[in-house]
Amino acid sequence: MIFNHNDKGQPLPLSGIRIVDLTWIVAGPQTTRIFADLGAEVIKVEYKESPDYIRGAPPFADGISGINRSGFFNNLNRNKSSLSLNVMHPDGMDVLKNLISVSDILIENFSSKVLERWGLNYEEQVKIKPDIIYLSLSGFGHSGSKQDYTTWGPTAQALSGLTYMSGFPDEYPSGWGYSFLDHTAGYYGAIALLLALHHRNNMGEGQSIDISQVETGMALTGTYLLDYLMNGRKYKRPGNPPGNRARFDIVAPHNIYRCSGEDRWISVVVSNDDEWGKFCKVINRIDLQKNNLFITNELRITNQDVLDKELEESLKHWDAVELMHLLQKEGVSAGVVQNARDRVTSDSQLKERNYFQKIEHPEIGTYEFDGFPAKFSGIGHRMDRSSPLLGQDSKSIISDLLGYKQEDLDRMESEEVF
Amino acid sequence: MINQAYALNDVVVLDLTDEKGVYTGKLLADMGATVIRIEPLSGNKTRLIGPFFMDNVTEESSLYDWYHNTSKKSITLDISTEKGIEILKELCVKADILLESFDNDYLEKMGLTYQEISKRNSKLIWTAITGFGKTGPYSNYKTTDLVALSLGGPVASCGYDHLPGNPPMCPDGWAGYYTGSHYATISTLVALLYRDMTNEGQYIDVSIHEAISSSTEAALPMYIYQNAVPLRQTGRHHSINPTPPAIYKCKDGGMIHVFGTPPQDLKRWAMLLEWIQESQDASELLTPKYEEMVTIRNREPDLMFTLFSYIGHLINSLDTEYVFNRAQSIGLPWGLIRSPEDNVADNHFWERGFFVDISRENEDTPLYFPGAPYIFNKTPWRIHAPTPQLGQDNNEIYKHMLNFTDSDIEKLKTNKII
Repeated sequence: MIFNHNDKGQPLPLSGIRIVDLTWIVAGPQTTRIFADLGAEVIKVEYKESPDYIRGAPPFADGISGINRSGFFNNLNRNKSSLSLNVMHPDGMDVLKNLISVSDILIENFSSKVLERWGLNYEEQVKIKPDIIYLSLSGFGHSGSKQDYTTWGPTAQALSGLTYMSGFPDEYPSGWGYSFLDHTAGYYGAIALLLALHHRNNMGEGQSIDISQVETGMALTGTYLLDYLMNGRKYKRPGNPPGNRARFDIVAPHNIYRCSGEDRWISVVVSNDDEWGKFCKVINRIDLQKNNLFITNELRITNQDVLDKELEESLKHWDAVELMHLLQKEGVSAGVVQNARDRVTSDSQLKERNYFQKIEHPEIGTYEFDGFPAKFSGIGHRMDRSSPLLGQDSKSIISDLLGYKQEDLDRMESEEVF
Repeated sequence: MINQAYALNDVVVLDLTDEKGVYTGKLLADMGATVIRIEPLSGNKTRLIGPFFMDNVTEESSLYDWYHNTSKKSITLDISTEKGIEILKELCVKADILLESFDNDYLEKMGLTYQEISKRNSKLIWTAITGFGKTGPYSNYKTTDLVALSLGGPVASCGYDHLPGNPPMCPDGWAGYYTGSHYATISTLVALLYRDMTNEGQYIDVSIHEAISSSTEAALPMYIYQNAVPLRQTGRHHSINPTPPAIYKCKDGGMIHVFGTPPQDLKRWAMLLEWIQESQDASELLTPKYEEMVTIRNREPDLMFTLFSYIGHLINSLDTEYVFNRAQSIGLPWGLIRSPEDNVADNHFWERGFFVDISRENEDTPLYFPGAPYIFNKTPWRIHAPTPQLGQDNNEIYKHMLNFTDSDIEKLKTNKII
């Protein structure tokens, strides 16, 4: 086995794995982004008439929209190739089938049954490539009475219970301010494919995997589901969700407080009496430490409303970053509520670990990308290619990889197959 | 060739994690790995996280612990002693994967280093899960789920625009730790695949902070490409410019999350308008100006807010289930906002096997657990055993893995090593 290497000379562990990537939007591309970062050859198959929806989603470079100008798309699709293909044309379907025959994995996140309509369900794929690994990511999965329902990230997280679990009690859910569950479903997609590859290494066989995005969210509510199944206790009850306070009121203070400046906030968790003493000292409120209302964790929980008012008064004068460092040096868990600007420009931890890396894009220029969240001793990830221009690799894939002749290529081009 | 009914039948994992990484071992165990929790004699502190079965607070009744430790085994070992560390090293020699989430290089300080142990077992994969990673200025900072989600970015995107002055919100449910565990699982499996090919082990440094920072969707691109920090909006996507409310109350008190609207094609647009017209006069929506919302994705705020006020009226006048099913029947990806337990009543998830009965053969009453996050056709996900009691597998593991005799074990028990 020969591995490709990144620019630091580290082997890319997923070298040699080829993926037919029929996914779009966020969840599926999240799965294949991980594979592409770690060295797999991800061939993103798009139809020119309706390319990946995120190509049309802001933000755009320089504020100018364009099919190759979305920063959101660039971020999700780095290190991948693009094959534009009209699979409704017989030649396009032929190309797709030939591509499957030389690939390891086929992944899609269409509504369930789309691939079946194309005549490409798992059984048909196996006829083309006997050990193919097929992953489908859909809203409700490929079985069950709601299999034809469709979801996007926000609706899937609403259904899963995750939206409800965020916010103040007796208020609208504040939910997730974005499609958190698209990332999460994407992570389960990656875990599933890696498991299937390990099994193929051992047994020489591929398999078919069915993921429901809603169920990946439900898996994260498991403790609360058990509370209902075992104790009959519903999450939907007075006091839930707990806002920013500790669930089940186990410690206090546990909250987010305003600091000085525009929209600056700090999270603080004090988990025992020792930390409470240190916390009071750092914020110059020894009086609170001595106050009988707050001397034990139990009392701090009981008197949380008064305590939070005191802390709101004190902390609003602090610089959030300075206070975080002072508290952390004393062993108290505290963190600035960082927005994207903070993370990119002033987070010294991310900077020190070279988390953000730059890649040049042929049309829009050089931009920063978030890296892979783990460091390995003997392997690495790559950050060397920006997202592909729509269809930029069509010709080379069809002729060099699949061996089509020039005359076929010309005919297909004139009939707009790619 | 080995015979593998489950994807990870050939893998032995030592699990020393606390709540930061406990889910990682579950994901591996439910796919067939032999995962051995190594606990202090008093039990892992996850055993004290509520809620508890029948509200009985014991180290065997935490539902949090039950959910996150299915399919695992448990042994006790006091690794704060020299003898304990020596035994841990022997286990490392026999294992494939070590999972740990200690702060401040605890294991290294106790004398167990990757450098040394990899000489005795060069195939070992050691996955270290920490708040901020093993290097950098925050490497000794103390994380909590609240602080992790604050520094990593999600909290800055979640909150209330209809309640001005309120803090950003942190979603309940350990989502920060889950995200770290998802990346820990992905990284561990990637190292396992690399080992399949090379027989080489790996040291992996997983940063929860970086994992969360990679899971904030368009927030980073918005800053990187447009120098913009999005607004927090109640229960819906963060956005540079305000968008209409997405959550609407129904007649029966339930709530619907509206998304994917206006739809992308005129057929569904017509069906939506027809439905709106059933409850109110909406003739202004039947004009070409509004049709542009579909044909050229016109998102002028006036048009959006007007459309959504009609949709709000429509939803207010109907019951939740009806709105959800009717919207889905015309291809609108709206979701109803469920509390976790609401999904227990949805047959769809029982039909797919999300809930499984894990009672033993001789037990009369079923014991239902959530939940398969994926369905594999060859190597099924499965809860192989309920959560182990503290130290229940001492005899089996110490005898069979390390060839200890009964008297060895008795002696270790007397000396409070196990």
